[in-house]
Amino acid sequence: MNFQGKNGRIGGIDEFQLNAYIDGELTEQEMQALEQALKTDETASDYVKKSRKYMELGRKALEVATQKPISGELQGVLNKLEDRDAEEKSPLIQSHPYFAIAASLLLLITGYGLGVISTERGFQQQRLAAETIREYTRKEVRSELNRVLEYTPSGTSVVWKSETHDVSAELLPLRTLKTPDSRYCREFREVLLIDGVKEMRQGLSCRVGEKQWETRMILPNDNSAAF
Amino acid sequence: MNGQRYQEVIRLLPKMRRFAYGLTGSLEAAEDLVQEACARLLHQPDEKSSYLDRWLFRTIRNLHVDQIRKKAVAEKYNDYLTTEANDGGLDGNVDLETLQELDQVGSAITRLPEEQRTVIILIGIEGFSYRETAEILGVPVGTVTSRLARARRQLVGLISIRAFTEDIAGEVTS
Repeated sequence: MNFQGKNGRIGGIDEFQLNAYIDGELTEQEMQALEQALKTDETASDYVKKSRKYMELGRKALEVATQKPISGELQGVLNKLEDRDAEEKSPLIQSHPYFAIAASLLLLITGYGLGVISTERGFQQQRLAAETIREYTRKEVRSELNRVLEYTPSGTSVVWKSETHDVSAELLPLRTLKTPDSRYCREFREVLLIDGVKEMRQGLSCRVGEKQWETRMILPNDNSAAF
Repeated sequence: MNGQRYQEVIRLLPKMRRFAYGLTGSLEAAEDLVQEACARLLHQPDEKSSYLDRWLFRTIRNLHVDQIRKKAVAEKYNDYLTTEANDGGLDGNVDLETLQELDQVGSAITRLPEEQRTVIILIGIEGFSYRETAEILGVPVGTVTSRLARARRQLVGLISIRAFTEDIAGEVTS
């Protein structure tokens, strides 16, 4: 098969047009016209197939770079970036320190008030609320875990914090495996901190679709403990 | 983007590492490039990095080109490029045929001229559009499409010739 691109053509099709087709740069109408032409042009059709296959293999060949644990230096830079973001997220408190003091006082008063009106029924409601928060949090963490398993290299931990509750999670993909039927699975560890109670688990999730991971195995551990 | 750059960088990290590795052919050198780009982001005013992905990829590429140019750094850098054996590998069970194909494609990509290699990785592997790639490289879209055409033609040609040569060698030795 000759892919010399003589006169700017592959087979009988303009080379730039063919590349634009491969790279998804054509309009719907142009794409349909080109697909029609490809049906009778073996050279161009073979070029498209090989280009796509080689790009997929090229991506896999470079994938090794994402499997390597990140260096301590890079982690240090990322930590600084995270700190910088945290500073930028709270401009109100930075620019108005009295706001922070007022908010603290309000919380104290509210807390005192809640303490005074608490009854047995109140405690039950709080317990129920705590359970609801835990369940809600686990759902949120599962969603975050999907994202981490999809994008984060092994050895890189991602810390997630709830914006509404006293909950945080540290999610760490440990390694990536490929099953004989070409399915990707990842071993991970997650540490949840819900109202000061730590829950830790290690497991295996397998990719079932884009950004969709299904947990297949949870390793038993006895590391859960109250702080 | 205020206060969200860390999450965005974490999301882009695998893509950046792949890109840097594709440029350098070395895991160590790739890590250095990504680290330096992230460090520079720390000193970048927030409002100027609304197109964070393009900014990071442009910085990685510029750093790579700078390092090639600087003689003092080149010694260490070239040492990485020529002597380092990859210390990693795809986890799990990858069959030999796939490994052989991966080697062929990986080697063909690293043999492309730097400008062509950059374009084929950004568009073919990382999925940037022609316009985005032109913005990253600071060149017209026409330049991008020309480099891409040459790169793709060479890549398909290189791999086809190599596969053909190996087939012939196999027939001769069998």
